[in-house]
Amino acid sequence: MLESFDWVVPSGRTALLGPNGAGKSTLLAIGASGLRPRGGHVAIDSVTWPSRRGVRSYRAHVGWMPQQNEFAPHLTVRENVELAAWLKAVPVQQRRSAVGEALEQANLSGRSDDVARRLSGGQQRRLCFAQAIVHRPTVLLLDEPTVGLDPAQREGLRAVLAGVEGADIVISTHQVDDIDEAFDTVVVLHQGRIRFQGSTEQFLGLVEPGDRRGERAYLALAPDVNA
Amino acid sequence: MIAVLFGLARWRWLLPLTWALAIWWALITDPNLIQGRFLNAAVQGAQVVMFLAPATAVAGVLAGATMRANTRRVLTGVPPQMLLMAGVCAVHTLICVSALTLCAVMIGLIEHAAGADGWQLIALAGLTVAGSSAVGQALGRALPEVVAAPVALLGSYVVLAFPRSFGDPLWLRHLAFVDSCCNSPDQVSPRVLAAIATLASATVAAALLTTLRGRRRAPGLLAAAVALGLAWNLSTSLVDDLDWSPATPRAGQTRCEPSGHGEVCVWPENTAALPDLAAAWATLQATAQKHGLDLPTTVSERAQGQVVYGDGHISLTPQISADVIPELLATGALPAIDPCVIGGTMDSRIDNAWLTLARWWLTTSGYSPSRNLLEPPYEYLDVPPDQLDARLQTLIDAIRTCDASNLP
Repeated sequence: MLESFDWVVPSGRTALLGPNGAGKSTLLAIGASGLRPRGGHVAIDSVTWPSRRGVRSYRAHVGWMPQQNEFAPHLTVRENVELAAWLKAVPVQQRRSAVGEALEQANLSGRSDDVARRLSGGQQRRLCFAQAIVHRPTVLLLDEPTVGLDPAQREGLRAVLAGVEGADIVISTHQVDDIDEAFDTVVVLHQGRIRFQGSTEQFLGLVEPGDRRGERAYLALAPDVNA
Repeated sequence: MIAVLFGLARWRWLLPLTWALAIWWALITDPNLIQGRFLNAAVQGAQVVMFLAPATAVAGVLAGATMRANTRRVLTGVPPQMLLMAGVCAVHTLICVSALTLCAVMIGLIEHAAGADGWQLIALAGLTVAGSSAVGQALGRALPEVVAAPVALLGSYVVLAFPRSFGDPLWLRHLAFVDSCCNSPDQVSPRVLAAIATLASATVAAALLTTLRGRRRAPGLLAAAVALGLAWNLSTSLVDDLDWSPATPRAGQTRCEPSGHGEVCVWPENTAALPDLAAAWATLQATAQKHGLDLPTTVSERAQGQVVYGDGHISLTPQISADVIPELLATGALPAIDPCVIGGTMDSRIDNAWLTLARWWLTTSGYSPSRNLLEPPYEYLDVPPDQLDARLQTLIDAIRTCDASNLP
């Protein structure tokens, strides 16, 4: 799906656009070490993956929020985030504060003792987000974080995402109308290749101002999307 | 993280369930099997593992299913996946060992059992539970819960409980857990303990190896199969010459108390009877020495294989009545008549000589023989007083040599 692919993650917030099947989830899964590339490697600073030695260190640098929610429904919210902290090797002495901060950042502090299955859809998504950031990653990969949420829940999650600092974030979405000034960079992935990479201004500047500007800009780059 | 591991292990229902099973098992255990010995309480208590292990296997399936539902999170985790499985195993083992301990201690308290041996059986049962948990987790990771849970539940019960009903091969029962052990001269064979430990450890190791992914998966599965194969061969070779009994002669020291010119020695669970035993034995010895009889000065409980009846060997039962102690000592110290049974028959004069001696020794020492010691049909000791000692020794020698020719 992704061939001859060479990409440097831009600093700041990057929106990764593309139609279904463009390779967005694959790209993020490889970046999170959830999928092993058949060739090549991924690097964060000097830590590369796949490699014999670097995978643990690499994984400790990356936060990943897959498209489908993954948590233990019978555990409490706090326990789920603690599990993620353990899986990401957060040192024991820092774990309590890291979990507290992640819950705070995900706006779930008030629900920390609730069993995860009792959360609403938006809260469950925020729980997955807390799990993704608990180890303070330097690169955060969020795969369709707002999919399946109602407008209010989407707005709540967007507000949470806006509060993230200290990490370069890649957010994949096919909801082009989400693109706004909250993003520093827009990347359009189409048929396994990068069709566009530029600032949000450059992306929106591809078309005349008006309604559904993001969607029109996107269609200008990928006119065969609806084919 | 400990709270998380307990949560993944489903302790909220597993702990009450295992404790309830343990209490139920303790209450229905046949008290006659305990014989005042904690080892027997542990043997009986540890058998509840055949119910604990299936429950734990199901809890393992649920933990494995949770990991399966979190595959990507676990897959991109830093610690090896087997650490998580091992952590859940540890919690399950802790919960079940607490239940097993409760069961054994309850049985021990109810039956006033004494001694300190038997804890190795609790530890072994804990290892068996760890195996069930690990296999359950492996199944839960590989299969949907609705398939994995019944497979784990029934599979672990069948593996543990069914070998006991096998008539052939008899040794198969010794690979699951220890049952039908032990009489006072016995203890559980170390070979049985080693066989169970080997198989359970290999099961845990094999299940842990199934968590390996990527390039390590195939070698991991191969190593798991090799570990199980080697463990099976080693375990079966350890027990394949055993019959239904997992017992071996008892090791360890008896507790002794000086008495007269000798001493009385009993197993630790019978030390409460030592004062009564020592007092009665001193009285009996005084009678024997006054008449110059060649009889042992020490009486002792002994391990299987060292038992020579009539050579000072005694065998106590718990909470023995003080009334029967003198007779127990006298009959244990007199030469045994069993070797005189030749071709299924014995010269009745030997039998009568033994009964005469036993009754004389007890009555002369001031004790009353029980109804078990039948009155001999005629009197061997109808001799002048100055010939009594010689006649008594003649009776003893006749029994020792199984030669009744010198008897009247």
